[in-house]
Amino acid sequence: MSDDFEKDDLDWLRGDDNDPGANGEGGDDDLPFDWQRQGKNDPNAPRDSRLGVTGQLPWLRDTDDETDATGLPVDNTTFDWQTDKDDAGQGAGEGRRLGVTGQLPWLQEDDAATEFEQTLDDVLRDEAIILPPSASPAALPAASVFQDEAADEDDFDDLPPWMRGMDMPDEDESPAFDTPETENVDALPSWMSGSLYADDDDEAVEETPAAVSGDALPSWMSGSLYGDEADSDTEPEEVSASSDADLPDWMSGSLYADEDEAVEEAPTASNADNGLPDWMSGVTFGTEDEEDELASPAASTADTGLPDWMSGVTFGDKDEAPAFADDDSELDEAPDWLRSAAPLEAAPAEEDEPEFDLDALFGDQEQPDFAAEADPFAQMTTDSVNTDDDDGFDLLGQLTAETGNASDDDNFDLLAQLTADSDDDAFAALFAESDKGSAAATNTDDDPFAAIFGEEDADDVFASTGAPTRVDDLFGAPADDAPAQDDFDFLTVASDEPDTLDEFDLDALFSDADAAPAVSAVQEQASPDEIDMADFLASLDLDDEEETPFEAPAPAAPAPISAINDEGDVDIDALFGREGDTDDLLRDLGLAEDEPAPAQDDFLSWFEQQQQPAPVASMDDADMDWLQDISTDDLVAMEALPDEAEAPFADDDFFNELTLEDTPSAPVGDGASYADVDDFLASLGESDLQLSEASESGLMSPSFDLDDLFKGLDDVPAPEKRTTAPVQLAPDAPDWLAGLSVSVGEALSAAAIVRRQKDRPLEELPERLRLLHERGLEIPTGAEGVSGALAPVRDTLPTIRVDPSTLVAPAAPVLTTQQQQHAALLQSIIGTQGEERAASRAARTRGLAAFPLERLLIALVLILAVVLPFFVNELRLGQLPPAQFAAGSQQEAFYDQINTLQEDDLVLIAAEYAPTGAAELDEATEAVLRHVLARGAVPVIVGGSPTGLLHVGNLVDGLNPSALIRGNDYYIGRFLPGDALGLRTFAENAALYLETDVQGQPTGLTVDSLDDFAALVLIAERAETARFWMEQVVSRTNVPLLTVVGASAAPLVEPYLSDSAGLLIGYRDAYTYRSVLAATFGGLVPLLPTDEVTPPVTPEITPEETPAATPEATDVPGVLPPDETAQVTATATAAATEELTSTAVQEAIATATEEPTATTAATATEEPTNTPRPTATERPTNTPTATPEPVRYGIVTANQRINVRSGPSTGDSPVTSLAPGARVLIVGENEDATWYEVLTEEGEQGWITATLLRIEIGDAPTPTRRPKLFIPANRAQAQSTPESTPDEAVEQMLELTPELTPFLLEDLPSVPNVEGAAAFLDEPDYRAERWYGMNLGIAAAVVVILLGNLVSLIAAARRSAARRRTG
Amino acid sequence: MRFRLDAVLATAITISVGFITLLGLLLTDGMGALSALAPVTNGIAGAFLQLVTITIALTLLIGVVNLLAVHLSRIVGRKKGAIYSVVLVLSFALVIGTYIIDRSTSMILLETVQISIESALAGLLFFALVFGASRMMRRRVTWPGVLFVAVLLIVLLGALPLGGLERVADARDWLLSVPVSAGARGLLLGIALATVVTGMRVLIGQDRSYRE
Repeated sequence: MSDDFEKDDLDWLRGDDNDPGANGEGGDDDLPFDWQRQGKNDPNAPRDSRLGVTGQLPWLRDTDDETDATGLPVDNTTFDWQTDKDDAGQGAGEGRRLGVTGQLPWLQEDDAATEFEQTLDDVLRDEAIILPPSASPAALPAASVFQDEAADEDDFDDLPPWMRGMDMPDEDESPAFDTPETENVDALPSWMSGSLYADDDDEAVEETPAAVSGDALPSWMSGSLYGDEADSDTEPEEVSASSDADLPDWMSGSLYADEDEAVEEAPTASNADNGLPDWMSGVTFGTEDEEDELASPAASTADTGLPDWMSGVTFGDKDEAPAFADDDSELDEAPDWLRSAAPLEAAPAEEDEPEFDLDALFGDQEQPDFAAEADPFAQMTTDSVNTDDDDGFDLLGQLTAETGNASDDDNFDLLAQLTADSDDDAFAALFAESDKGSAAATNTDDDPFAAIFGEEDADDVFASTGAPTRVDDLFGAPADDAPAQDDFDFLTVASDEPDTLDEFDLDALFSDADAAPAVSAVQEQASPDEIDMADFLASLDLDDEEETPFEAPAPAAPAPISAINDEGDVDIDALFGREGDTDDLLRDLGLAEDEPAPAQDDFLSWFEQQQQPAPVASMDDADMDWLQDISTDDLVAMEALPDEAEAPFADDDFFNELTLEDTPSAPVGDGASYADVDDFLASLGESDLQLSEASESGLMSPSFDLDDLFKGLDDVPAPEKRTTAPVQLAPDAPDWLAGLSVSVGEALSAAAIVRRQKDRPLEELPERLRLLHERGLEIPTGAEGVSGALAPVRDTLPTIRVDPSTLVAPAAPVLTTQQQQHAALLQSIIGTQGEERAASRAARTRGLAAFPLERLLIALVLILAVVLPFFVNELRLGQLPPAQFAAGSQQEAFYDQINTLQEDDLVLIAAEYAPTGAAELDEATEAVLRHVLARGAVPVIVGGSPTGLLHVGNLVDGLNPSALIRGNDYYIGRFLPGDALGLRTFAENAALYLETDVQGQPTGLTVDSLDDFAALVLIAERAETARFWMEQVVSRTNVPLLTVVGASAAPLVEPYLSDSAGLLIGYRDAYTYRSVLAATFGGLVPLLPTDEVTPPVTPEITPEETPAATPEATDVPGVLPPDETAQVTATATAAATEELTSTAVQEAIATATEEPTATTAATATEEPTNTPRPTATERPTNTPTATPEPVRYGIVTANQRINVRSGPSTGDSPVTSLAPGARVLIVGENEDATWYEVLTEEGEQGWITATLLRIEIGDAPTPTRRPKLFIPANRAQAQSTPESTPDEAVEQMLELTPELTPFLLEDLPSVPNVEGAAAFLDEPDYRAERWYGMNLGIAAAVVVILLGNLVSLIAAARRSAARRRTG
Repeated sequence: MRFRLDAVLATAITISVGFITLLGLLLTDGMGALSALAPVTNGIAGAFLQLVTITIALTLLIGVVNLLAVHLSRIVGRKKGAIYSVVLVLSFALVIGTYIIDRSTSMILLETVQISIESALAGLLFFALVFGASRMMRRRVTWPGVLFVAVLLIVLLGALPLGGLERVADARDWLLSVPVSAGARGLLLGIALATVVTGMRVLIGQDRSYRE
């Protein structure tokens, strides 16, 4: 065979048997390469026609070995990956036949007459493989090979335990031959036959596993049978349970990788299984469960046993874990078959460290068709790329990086795929076992990857690598010299020691059903110093110059393969042999320049081009897998790249000028620099990858031929011939500009992600990348001498030349329209104008920030507005709040409701405000509490705000600490947690909640429910709190609701209230309430003075020498006949009035009356009003003359309720009714004593017939509580007399007794008129000043807000006008 | 479909408790034959509500403990800002100590420190709001912004007890009684509807936020 390589030499790759080689050699060379072809398919074919793996791959033979005439190795040792090296020599002389091809017992044990076996026998015989007399292929013991292998235990030590078990099947059991139902099954061990059915219909899936898994199938493999059953919920669990013991630890979980349901459980088990090799962590976690998928990676990440080189790869850590660390030592921890990839990186590292990147194999492109889902492979490749730009690619990292991907069915798990249904899995097709007649497991029509590595197109794969020679040339001896049993073994091919290597069966590697063992075989066969699958892939790595993408060889260029011997065989050693340098191979192949190129990205780029037409048309969405993602993503993205690269912005031309035209073209391959590999990719236009229509549209069609796909490669112009150079950026170009060269728009690609990561510190880059970076900086930019942002611009501003002789300023340079546009665009892009403005604005901002004049001014104005009214009367803006509530208003209703409270009535007060609302609500709270206490009612304060509760408690305590007793006059109840729910609980369990107070002390309150309260006063700061009370408490009781809220909460509270409901809003109403209350304090009278309490001394008011007014009221009856009371009152008041010398009172009187005149005549003759309680004229005052008298009580003797009537006859209307046994006070009787006038305990007065009462004589009831002060019930009456005479005012004053508490006395001078309120305001409480301060503050706020916004409006208008002027 | 036991159990408990509580709240004495169940359901519902209340109250305690733990850790670790943590912890200890020794002293702290500070912060809110409102349209002028400022000014001016501003006061009253009240009622209706919907989702197991 000639060393000259011709283009037509590739014709044989087309797979056309009838197409002789163009070189005329015909014969064997004309036959298609078919490494998967089985002899049984063409038993009549000439022996020489069997090419490929099963037949004539001559390169499997050690070319260094001496061969005989038939081409067989001297030692007659055929390839057998199961054969120990040491045994090879021994067996060689004996003609021992090894290898899967011929002797795998489970392929031959049964039905030796089958066509396959016969063919295989023929092959062996034809190839002069001498079988031992006792070991014909058919009769070979099932486990002979394994037994032979087992003879050397050392070898099996390398195998995982679970592999050893399968190596030693008992001959008698021969499980491999127990299921001779089909040929395929015949050929496979029974435990693997199940996998064959995995691709069948559902029935097979359901039935077969049960048949085979019971005895023969290794338990840990059982799961594979169900690999694609998504609807199987129970079987995986069963399998899992049964396989736990047998399943190798690291395989755990892989069984369910394809199962939606089982995946949920498997990762957990796998995570928990410490037997999982560290480096496999994460591989098996292909769950989509939203809960478990997060847990699994976490668990795996936490696995400290994970080798460093795998850390991050598994889970796609972009920043920290390169797929293959640069440190070779880390690779030692990798499994062998992965570690074998080390030379791909390590060896080239000697020459600028080229790396193997599977990106190059599968491209780095997008998949718009599946845009709805994240592209797992894009993510995988992204991880690899992002690690650092050209870090090596880690297959396992890719496989596992997508575990977190959201796609449903594309969780790729290598091990799972090995056991999965190959019909639906493209990757599984990679391992499809077509050789063993189980081609059913491979559907190359539907499987793009199978189309690549499948039966017919395997040659195309090699052709697609750009190998300029035939496979025979590439891999070894001509077919006719090759032993028929040779198997395609890229592992062996690339071995450093081909003379000692055993043969490896590619079937085992690519076997579908036997995938797991195959992988193990890879692991075992490929010793650390051997090259395995990765090496094979690396062998496809047609590396070239550093920073130089693929340079397609000239189509007619002869292949300078020095390794090709005279016979046309390729010296494997020369290719992959001892030197182990793929660069040598590449140089030999003419694919590399003399100087080794380290840029693996270039290889990636090249291969992307090769893979660009990856089929997508017939891809089934339901079969989403990683390969699908690869092909579709990459294809579309690659197609999209050039366009977008050329149009990063609207002005394409501008940027072309900016980056391309003015810059000397950086020819590819001559050291031209790119920002990154993506730039190079982007630089490749569609013209580089013109594919035939058939390639693009029918790639997935069954009839598609990959030859057509790649035949266009010959037409790919050399990069250096490109007319449009790729984007070249100056080394000091801004980062953002680098991204302009390539843009993939919204598409998410690895390249796009890489471009986005511009902020990676240089220090974090590996040394290699740093060197690369430095080298890049040294590359001339082509714009030397021109600096600045305008450097790449072609039409830079013309230099203004000044003639010094004339000393005349030259005219301003005139820019063309295009120049102006360019300049404007450039400025807008690089933000020059914006930066200037921003800098200016920032400077101003900094200045203002240093001295926030505006804020200070506003704050100063507001402070002055609030404070000045306290000191400057002229600034007291506006009027004081009204002294009275509007008639019929909610505020008046509030007051009236409180005013109806009776002594000892319980009033529930909800203090739901914090100190933040104290300024607004304290005033109202205090006024209400005063009012309630004045009515003799008992406030019970609760609240859901701890601080609010304490604050109100302190407020009550501060009213009159010496006069008010907590736990007697008022109660501070419990804190009510739980917001709405807590309030509802309180409403339903009020008795329980009120048993103790806030300090945990018993209250002694006898409250059964909220209905026992006379009123509910809600004081709320926030609308939400008020709403809770409305909805949870108020709705469960009929107690009248009185609400006090802040102004901000009022709008949301008002909808809950009727127009007649009591409501106080903010400080304004509180002020009025206080005024009204003060005005009516004049009518306060003690109802039930007690002799138990000594009132505090009030020196300011206590009249001198007023014995009548001394607080010695003892034994004063609670209720006395009106006449007597009136008399006593007159005496007391007269005495008190005469001696009244209190300055305060006098001043109050002076303000209340124009002519305060003390009178000795008590003229208080007001009649009892609508309340039976003694009025001012009836009350027994605390005069010493008030002596107690025996009183008569009436006990109701009837056995049913009786009426209390308004008059002493049954014709009078009932006033109320009394229960049997009720006790009433007899206050009078009619003339014949047949009717008694009674006063009920409820205060109702009426008549009861004497026959229903039993009269008892007793002392007047002694009050247990101290005297209470009551406002005249009819406030309207008090307020209706604003024109009361001074005498009346004085009388009211005289009614005040020394025991009146100070907090009431301070309100003493109030009279129900505006003047009275004004007098009240004169007290030093600064309430009026607060009011005026508030008003002026509001006014100032209005001014500030108005001015501020006016300025803003004016500024906006000016800006708008400016914009209009500038167009 | 695969069920997780914990998820099913939690959902079942929630739905059951929800229905029982609902029955307890709905059943009353005036519901015929169902009235016999009212005491039982009401009691159970009440117990549930009390449990919730206790739990919520417990969270307050937990919050206090956690707060102390966080700040103590900052102090021990001498982290940045640990001085403030020291102040917090000391204040906590001081309040607790004084409350135990003398409640009135504790109240002094409350009044002079806590309430004063909170009130001061509330007062500062006035300045912040005014300043913010004055810069409302500084960055951008929009019609909603103009409307907001106009309403704000009307409400503020209407609150001033000044003669001659009766019309403004009337406008303010109208704003508060009509648009604001309408909006408030709408909010309340929305809250009610959302509460019903959320309750129903919980009862039928659609909303399982308790599993989060």
